[in-house]
Amino acid sequence: MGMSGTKRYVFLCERLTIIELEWSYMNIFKENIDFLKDIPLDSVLKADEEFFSVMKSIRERLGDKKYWLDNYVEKVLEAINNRQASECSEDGFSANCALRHLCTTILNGEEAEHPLYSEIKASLEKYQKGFQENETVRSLAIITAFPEYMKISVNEYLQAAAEDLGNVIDSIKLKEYFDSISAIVGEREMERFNLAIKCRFMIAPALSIYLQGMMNDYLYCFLHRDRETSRLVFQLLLDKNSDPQGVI
Amino acid sequence: MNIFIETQRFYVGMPLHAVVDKDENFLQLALKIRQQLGERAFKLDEYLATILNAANLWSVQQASEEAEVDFADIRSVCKDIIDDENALYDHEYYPALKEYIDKNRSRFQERYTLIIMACAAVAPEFMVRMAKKHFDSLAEEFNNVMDVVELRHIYRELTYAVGEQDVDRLNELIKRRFFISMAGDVYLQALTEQYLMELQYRDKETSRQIIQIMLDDAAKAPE
Repeated sequence: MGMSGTKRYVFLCERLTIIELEWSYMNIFKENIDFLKDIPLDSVLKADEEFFSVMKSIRERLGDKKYWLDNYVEKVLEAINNRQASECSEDGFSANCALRHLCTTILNGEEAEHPLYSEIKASLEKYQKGFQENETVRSLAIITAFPEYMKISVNEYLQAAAEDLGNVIDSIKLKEYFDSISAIVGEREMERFNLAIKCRFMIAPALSIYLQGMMNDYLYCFLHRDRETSRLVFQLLLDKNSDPQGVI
Repeated sequence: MNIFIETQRFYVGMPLHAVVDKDENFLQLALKIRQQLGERAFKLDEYLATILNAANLWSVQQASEEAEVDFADIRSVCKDIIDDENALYDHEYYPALKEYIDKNRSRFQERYTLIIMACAAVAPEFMVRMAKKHFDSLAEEFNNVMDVVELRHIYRELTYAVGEQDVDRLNELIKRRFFISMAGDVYLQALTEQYLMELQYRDKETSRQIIQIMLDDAAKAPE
């Protein structure tokens, strides 16, 4: 709380020059806004200015060759906008709905084809011994399967994204542009430019949004109230934890 | 280092293992804290329920859709001004957009280019204003659903009982698991995508992209 506590953190992961985040490490869930956003709004404006001013200055230095930079930027921006936030979040949400559907299918005694089929079946059977309500059993099974399921989904997502992007940009060509421009204006300047692009246009990367989309239904599972015991599922998990093989 | 050297860099923002690892489960730590709390264990349950609930109050699906709708607003105002309809006269973005459009009306033959140019010119500042307004109204909505003062109160109680270190660590684990991308950041990202589409739009008359036109203008302008 109010004690000592505010540390200045330079937001690493390549945002060094532009974004400086300040937050209290003492209690990260202190205000409503703590549940809403991470990136400070002014940093977006700063990044916008940085992007245009660096681009303008590189363009000037390139003279007749400024079209190199225009082509480079066109491709990079296209790549960034290749997967849009609304798509990514929907895809993530659907991925988790598919897990729910898989559990329902197994609960109905039907066969399903999935790498986690037998694991999920076993965990449903285990929870059925302890709880009478199917909705509770399913929520518990989803929570148990989630980490593995997420790994599989992320891999599928990455493969699809790589394929999509392969159709849109030619990474060798892109690197050639980067090198040719660097030869004139210096590599540091181009690195700075890339960083500005990232800070301005990749506020939330596609995969993160996809994963967050998966959280929606997953969170409902934790917060589902079991009709039999009137307790929330996460409470049941904590209550039941005498089983070392369990979720915890 | 060239950060766009691999295509993966265009859609992966963080190290994957940070998200996918099961090693540090927030439930393990919650259980430890619960045991220390003894009879007061229900306090932790209340704390967790409130935070998990808050994590789901504004979904990323909603956030991205709302951003698309909000951005479309700017375009509507531009169209309104260009067509001299003035129906959206009251709109807070009207004066700035009108000024831009009046100044540049005769510059472009393509109506749509003028719309996009006007949007792109004002977008960065408006986006931040739009986002701020949106966050403020959401923060208020949160107040109807959760009591943040009460939450802070429980936090204090928990830290007195089990120490700050564990509770802060618990917060961090929850954040890492459930707040991978904050809805507010996704809202900004979705606004940004609309802006990007404008920057990349190609004027039919000159075959140049909006961003090229903007930079050519900037190069000509006196410092």
